[in-house]
Amino acid sequence: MTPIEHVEIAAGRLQLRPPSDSEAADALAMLLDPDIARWNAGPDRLDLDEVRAWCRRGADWSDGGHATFSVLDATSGRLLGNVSLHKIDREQQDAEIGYRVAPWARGQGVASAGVAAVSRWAFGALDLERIEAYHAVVNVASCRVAEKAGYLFEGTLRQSYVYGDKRRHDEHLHARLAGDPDP
Amino acid sequence: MTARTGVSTLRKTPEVRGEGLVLGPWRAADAARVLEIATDPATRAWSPSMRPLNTEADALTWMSERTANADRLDWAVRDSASGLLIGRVGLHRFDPGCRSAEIGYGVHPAHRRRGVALRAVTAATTHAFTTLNLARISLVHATGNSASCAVASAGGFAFEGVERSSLDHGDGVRHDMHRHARLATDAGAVPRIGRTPVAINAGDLALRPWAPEDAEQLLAAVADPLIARWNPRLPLPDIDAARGWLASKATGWAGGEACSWKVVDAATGELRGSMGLRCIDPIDRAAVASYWTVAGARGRGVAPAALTAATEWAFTELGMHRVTLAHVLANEASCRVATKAGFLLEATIRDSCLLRDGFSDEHLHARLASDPRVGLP
Repeated sequence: MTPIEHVEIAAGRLQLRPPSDSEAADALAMLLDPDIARWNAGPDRLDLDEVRAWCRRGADWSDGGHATFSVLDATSGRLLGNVSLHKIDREQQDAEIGYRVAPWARGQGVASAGVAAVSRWAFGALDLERIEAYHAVVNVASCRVAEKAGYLFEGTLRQSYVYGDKRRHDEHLHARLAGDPDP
Repeated sequence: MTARTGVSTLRKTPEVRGEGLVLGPWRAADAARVLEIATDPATRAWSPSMRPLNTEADALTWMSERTANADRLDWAVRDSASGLLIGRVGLHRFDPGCRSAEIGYGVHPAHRRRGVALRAVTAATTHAFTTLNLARISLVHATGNSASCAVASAGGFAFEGVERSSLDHGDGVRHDMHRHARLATDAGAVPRIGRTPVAINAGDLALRPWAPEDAEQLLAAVADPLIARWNPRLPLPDIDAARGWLASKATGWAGGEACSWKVVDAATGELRGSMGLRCIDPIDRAAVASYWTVAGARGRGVAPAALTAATEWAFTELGMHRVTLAHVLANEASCRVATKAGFLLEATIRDSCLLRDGFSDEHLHARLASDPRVGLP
């Protein structure tokens, strides 16, 4: 697949760039959060070495299948969350998007602004037509992020995914098309 | 960042039997038929994966790539009687963590509108839930493909949503897609296939689906004391009961549990008897036969001929393996019918039938698809 070139995105008070193992300590603290462990788990073993390696994998966009961004406070440089575009299919021009917000950055619109910024870049730079977002129906915070980032609700998939709690959940499917209006 | 990787250890294509068809591995000799499927306009429109196939060599490559791909399970669909390739069905996008997969299918243009897709999807779905232990199978089709939508609904795949502009079919147009899914825990874990009633030729006789206007003939026929003697639900008290009896036969066809026919003289259409298959079990591939002959038509081999024809049809068209019948011991005429039609006596089952004068033992007869053919006189 075509490698994807690294990019940095400025989005108001947020800065998005490929992950760096320099933020591994904050990334570890984020991944240890129970909500994140339940809905969007990181590596199986959560220690600093594993999370450094996880950051490095996130920064390796060479196989063209994903583009993972750390979302940072543009002023302080602190990690606030991440947004990952994955399952990128340049032929079919589609991808999936996922996101996490660190416990210390919640309730400030970090995920929705980050997802909107990455989506805008992906529709332009990668020529995508459609990006999907899946979340467990009971994860209503994720539903709000999707709606605020312009991802329309398309359906409810029954018992479609086993999440970090090892339980099978119904999911909402949301998607945003290149031609959809900005939220 | 949910990982949805498709990995699977499936290597060998298992043989799966369905109603009137068999799912099995691809063969090199299928190339010409595969190409006929691939170049058909409807396939071109709705099956982008087959779009690149333009020669038999392409078809051979396609078959061998699909067979070698451990992330997929692709079957050739063959007519169980003739062995002819009539379609394809496959599972892909396996997710072992979620025990889920997606199903895809296609039917040869000469074999459409006969329920091939539904029967193939049902066989593959049954295999996926029972043998592969999957929990969820998605079925995704372009919104304009109404035939596929009908297959999804009839096969028990619940509609879940419309994915907008979801798939480029290779025609440069991105299509909206319906997503349907069936869960192993959905009611009636194996979808029953409602059938359109069909007639069967049996030489001088014909087995034809009962029609609403048969009520009066039916009422008169089952007033015969010998029929009522062996069937405590008969005779029927009035014309409304006869209409109700006919309606229940139509329900059996529609729900997939039973198939029923009037047996008539093929030339005159005159009523000779009744033939039925009930308790149709698609998992064990077994059914139960029953019959009666109108008083004026007895002693002419009507029931053995009708039973033979219906049983052969159950083996070839319904994919049944075993058809049984039971008759009370005193009903020796029925025992002769069973024997003539190749139903071996297996057992005497005690007090299994409640007649008007009390419980009666029955003979259990059965005929298997693998039993030698019987030659009727």
